[in-house]
Amino acid sequence: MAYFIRTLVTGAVFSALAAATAPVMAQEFPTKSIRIVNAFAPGGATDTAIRGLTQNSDQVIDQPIVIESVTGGAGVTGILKVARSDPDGYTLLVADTVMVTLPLFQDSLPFSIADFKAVGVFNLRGAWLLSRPSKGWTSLADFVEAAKAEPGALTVGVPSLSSPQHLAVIAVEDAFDIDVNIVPYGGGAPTMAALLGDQIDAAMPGAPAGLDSVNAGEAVFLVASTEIELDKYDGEIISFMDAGINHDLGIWTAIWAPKDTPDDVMERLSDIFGTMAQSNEWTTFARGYGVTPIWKPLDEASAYIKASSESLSDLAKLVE
Amino acid sequence: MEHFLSALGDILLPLNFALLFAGSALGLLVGVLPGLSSPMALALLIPIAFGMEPISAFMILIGVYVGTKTGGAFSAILMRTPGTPAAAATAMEGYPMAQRGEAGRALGLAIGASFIGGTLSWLVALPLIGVIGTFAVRISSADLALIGILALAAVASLSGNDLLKGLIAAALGLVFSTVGVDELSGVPRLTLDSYHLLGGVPFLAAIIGLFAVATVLIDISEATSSQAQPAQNNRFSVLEIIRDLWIMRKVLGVGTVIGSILGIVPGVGSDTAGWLSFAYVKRQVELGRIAGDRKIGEGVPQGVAAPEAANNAVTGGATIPMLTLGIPGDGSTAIMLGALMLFGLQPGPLFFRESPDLAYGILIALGIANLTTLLAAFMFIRPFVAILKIDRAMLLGTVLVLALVGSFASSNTTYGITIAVAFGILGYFMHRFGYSIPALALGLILGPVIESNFRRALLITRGDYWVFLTSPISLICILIIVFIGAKFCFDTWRRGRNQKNRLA
Repeated sequence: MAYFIRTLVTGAVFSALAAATAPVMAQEFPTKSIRIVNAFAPGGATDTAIRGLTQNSDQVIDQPIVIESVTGGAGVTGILKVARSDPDGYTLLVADTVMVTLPLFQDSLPFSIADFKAVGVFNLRGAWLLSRPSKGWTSLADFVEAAKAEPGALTVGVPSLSSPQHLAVIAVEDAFDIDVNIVPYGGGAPTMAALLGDQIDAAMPGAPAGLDSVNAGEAVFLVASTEIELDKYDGEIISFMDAGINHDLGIWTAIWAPKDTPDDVMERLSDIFGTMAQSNEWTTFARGYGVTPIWKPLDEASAYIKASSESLSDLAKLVE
Repeated sequence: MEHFLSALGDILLPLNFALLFAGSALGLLVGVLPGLSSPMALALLIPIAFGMEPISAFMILIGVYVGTKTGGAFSAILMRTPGTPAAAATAMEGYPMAQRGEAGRALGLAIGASFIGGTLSWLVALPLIGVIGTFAVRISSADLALIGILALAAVASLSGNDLLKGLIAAALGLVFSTVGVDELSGVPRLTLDSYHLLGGVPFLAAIIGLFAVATVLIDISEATSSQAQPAQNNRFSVLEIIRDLWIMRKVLGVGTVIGSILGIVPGVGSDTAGWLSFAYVKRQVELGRIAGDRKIGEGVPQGVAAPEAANNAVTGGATIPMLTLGIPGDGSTAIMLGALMLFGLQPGPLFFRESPDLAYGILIALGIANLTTLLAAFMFIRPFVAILKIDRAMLLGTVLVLALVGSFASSNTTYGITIAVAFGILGYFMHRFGYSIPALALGLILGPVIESNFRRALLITRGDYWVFLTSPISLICILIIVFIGAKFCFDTWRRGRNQKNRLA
């Protein structure tokens, strides 16, 4: 028993040592550090993007920007934390298209996109339909022809179900009235590994995941879900619109604030992040990483997200 | 090669090298202290490592992983209490050596043999990684599912005396792994309508609970106030040790080969490697092939050298399936694999291409960690041995606080603490009733590998089960799984018959 008590006492002493310091009070925005919650894996695409965007924040504002990873619950934990935080502009969220796709496939989520206002959309990437040179397909038309010859036989790998990449395959199926076997691989890298190992006939990863293989000649580009230029790719990019698929499916990343954040704070935030999003440091970083730097602030962002959301939800209805 | 050199450059940066050295020293310390294990130290370190660059984080993790393998020998030799399960075989001859007044020689041999075993196995692993990496993309979903099942079966059968209990623990891990949104259908499973569980059981918090919180609970309930005092006279001469090791080169070689091979086989850890090489030495002594008049149990120096070479050699082998297939070889590599995934990285066939600097960085660090462990062992052997006298209440109180802080930091939510405590209690009862905790941890991490690959294979073939029999890899896996099952049935039957005979 004495042993047990000593264990507890040691624990208690250590806990007391870990006392926190008091927060600093403020008068004018931003007068304290801005916290951006990333609800997804540290080191993942969203995390890398927001860290890249804010790397030189000291050139724009005097206060530091802190990226906090609040993971778990498929991203819901972090999203909810921001939705429930004070709408004062000091707690923001960074999240990508999943803000739109998650509610399409999950019922009874404790948040909705209406709980947030977009500060701005700051990067965009596409999904690319890729195949192997050994298949002999050089264009989307070849792929469609092969799919028509054997309905349901072609296997197409996607990073995960209900992702924009998955919905992009649905868009191709719908446009050409074909049926393929969609196989989720749990991430961009495993999808590419399956393609390069000839386990599947085609794959629809995000462009950054497939770019190296296309450049190395190990994978053949067929179509891109949205029309964006990539520095690292010299070939011609044929987009969905070019190929006669009436969808523009970009995978975008945005910064969000709780819905009751005052308009003047939203304006200020948009100025701050807009300056960063148009800086040379960020654009160079983004192009190196394989995403396209853009900046759509406030209302423009909301309109863009609404259009994207409608397009994705139309496609989601086609998933049986 | 270009990536290899650039990764080497990264590691030789003073900060990274210092972290690797610090990790090795910490690993030695954790290894020395009975009850603190390598998976536990790794689980506690990951939340701290989050704040760092991935490469720096892995310097510490790799250092600890390698360091614990050596550190376990200290307490095994001086107190007959292996600091880690991996060093259990080392105690067999190491403690008798200490009693003869050769504690210093035994310690020196353990440190030297660990360095040799670890380094040689690393040299073997280096070229193999490239070969397996190119080959790995050819491994289909069906193969991966069966490799995963084989790994679990091996863990279940080898991590305890009782296959049935091992399988139950592994199955429990599999059940926990099914929690969350199903990857292949998008349907939430076993989430108790809580959004917290949509993403599954938080892996890191669960691991901290199983390995750290549970250890504290177990120790509180089992602790005895009497503490053995470590043997004295732990000085040794480096020259004599080198001469000793040269004489034992054959035994060291065998230990290294055993360790490297068992490392590659998923599920078989360094404790098995230690025992197997000890068995080899025992046989050699019985056959009179080892010079000297000592019998087994009387302090045969080879009995220290071989298991230590073997348990360090496991590190080289175990890293191969972790990096190239995303299938961990033991509890420690399972946690490091978890850490890679928490960083948003995906170990697997393309890992070396997607993140070459980190992948080669981990690989190189593994080799250099043997050197930093050697240095740290020489520098800190005396203070670490002195720490063996510390009051365990202080030690475990500190561990408990680190565990709870770590489980919070893993997701920055208090939910992590709830999970860690729940799994700590679960781990305590599992230990109490003889169920293997590592088997559960492996089940938790292999569950998604097995399930999604199994279903993916069937999705591709449209439900044709023949796919599991048509590839050579799958077929070999099935044969080994059947063998493990059959051996267990046979052993059980024979034990039953022997008992009946004795009664008759």
